[in-house]
Amino acid sequence: MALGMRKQKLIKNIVFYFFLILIICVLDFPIYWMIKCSFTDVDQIMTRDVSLAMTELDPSAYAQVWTGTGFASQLQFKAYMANSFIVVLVSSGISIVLATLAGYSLARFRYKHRNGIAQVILYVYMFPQMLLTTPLLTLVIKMGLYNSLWSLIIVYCTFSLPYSIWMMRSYFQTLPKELEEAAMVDGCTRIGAIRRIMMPLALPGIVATITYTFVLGWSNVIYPLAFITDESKKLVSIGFNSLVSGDMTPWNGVMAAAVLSALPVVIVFLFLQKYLVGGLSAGGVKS
Amino acid sequence: MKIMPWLCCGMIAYFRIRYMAVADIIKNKKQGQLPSLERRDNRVGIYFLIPAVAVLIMIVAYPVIYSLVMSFHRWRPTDINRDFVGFSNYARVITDSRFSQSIINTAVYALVGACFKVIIGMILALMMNREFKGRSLARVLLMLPWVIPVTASVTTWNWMFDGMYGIFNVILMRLGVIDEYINFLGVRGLALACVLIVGIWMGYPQMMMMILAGLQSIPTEMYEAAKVEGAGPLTIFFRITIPSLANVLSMTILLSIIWTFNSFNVIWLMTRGGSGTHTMNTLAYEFSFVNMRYDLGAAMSVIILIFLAVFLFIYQRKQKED
Repeated sequence: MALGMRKQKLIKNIVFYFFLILIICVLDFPIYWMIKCSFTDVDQIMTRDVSLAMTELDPSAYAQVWTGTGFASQLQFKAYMANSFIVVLVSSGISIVLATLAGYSLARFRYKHRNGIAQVILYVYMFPQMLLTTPLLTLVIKMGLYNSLWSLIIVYCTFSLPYSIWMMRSYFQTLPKELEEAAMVDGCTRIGAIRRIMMPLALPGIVATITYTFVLGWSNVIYPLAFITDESKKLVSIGFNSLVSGDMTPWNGVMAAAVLSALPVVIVFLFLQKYLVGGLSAGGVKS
Repeated sequence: MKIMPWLCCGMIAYFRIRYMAVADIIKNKKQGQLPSLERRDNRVGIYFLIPAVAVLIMIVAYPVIYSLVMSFHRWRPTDINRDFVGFSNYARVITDSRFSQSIINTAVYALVGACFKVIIGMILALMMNREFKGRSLARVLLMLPWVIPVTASVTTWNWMFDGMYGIFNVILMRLGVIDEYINFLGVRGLALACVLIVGIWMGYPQMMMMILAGLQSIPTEMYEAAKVEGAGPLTIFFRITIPSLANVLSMTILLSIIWTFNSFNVIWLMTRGGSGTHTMNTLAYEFSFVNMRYDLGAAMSVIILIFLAVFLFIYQRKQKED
């Protein structure tokens, strides 16, 4: 009897793992293909006689993309990377500072319309970016910021700020109020209580929010497409697209550039996914 | 001079919030509910909110109003003529040959996409909800499509759909499904299906995580009780899991519809709206930045906003119910 049960469980497990691995293989195939093609020689890639397995490890495409030689001579990949980092980090930073204050305020203080304000902020996050692009572009041109990274830093706040506020508000709501009240009874000022008690507690939420806004910002397409034409100011999310040109596309190079552009986000995600997943679900279900 | 509108908006926001605070304090004074320290404290809270709200007003509220104004004027980047034209931009947009197609596409894209995303997300969330070895690895692998930047993944899909050497053509050819290579993204209908597949592929991880969070909030006692009563797995699923998830599910579906509704990246990077794949957002972009007609783009955006308002209204109603 006991053996039968165990056997049944084993079979159940095998079936489960089989399906799980199958699903993962299907869903992650494009990512595998991206990596595989990036390591393949261009003659091997432009053929109808391809094999699905990883047959060679040729890093020349990476080298050319990174140094901007060969087929990638019009690319300035290092500059794109740096630009993306600057824009995304600065805008996430600005957002998180403002959002921590605002989120704390919305979660803790009592004043009229605070729930209404929080609702509207959530709706702002859901706005189509297209609605803002044209007016923001005219504003940016008027302010003389066209083709400047500052324009993107400001504009990226349109999605990272409302999202951050909403997340930080949900996060502060989950923290017990008693802790800071106790601190205030013990003679801390409000600001002191926030700095000493709430900030350390809110750190996981802050990390999750920054990670999420980092991912969002890194892959944004519409704003860099509309605001930047200068090659040296382009972001990585659109920079390597100029390689794609009909039948002459060096696909191994394009794939290498794609892998490189994805790398920072994937690394950030791998390190911080624990925070992200917790925070994401907290915000997701609450919203 | 250029900074004036921004400044005005900021000032209005400041005074509005300030006024709200003062009104609150007066009211509280009358009722005598709050001790004076906490009253002062709440005012501090509003100062915390002001910077964020001021920034949002400058970079979101002001542009939305700007868009509205644009849509009623002749407004092109190429000339400085800014005549008031009433609703004629809207008329131009609505009579455009691609307009009705774009609405149908958006509906298909959002609804069908949301359905598949939720179904896939649900299956995966159920699988991930049990303890097994390698769970965190599986979770990372399943989240990857969402993490990879849109351009990188869409370029890969473009390459896989390629009409000359694309892997899908190769596989289908070897399997004998097709006789000659197909240009997937160049055929009407087929192109929309491809775009849809990519959209679903990128969106399911988020659904998975949201449903998983919902699943984990169901108390285990309920399952145990059901098992004691002798309920089978299917009964448990339909009698406990689904009803407990009802709220989370309806919320995720609605959110997914809103997100897909807004999505621009995938379609623009795959087809630029060609082969009958225009959605409302890509059409607005095309009006503004390809045809250089900011006024038409703005009118289209306002139409999008009207549609969105309906969704947000439903969302709000739904949330009040919960």
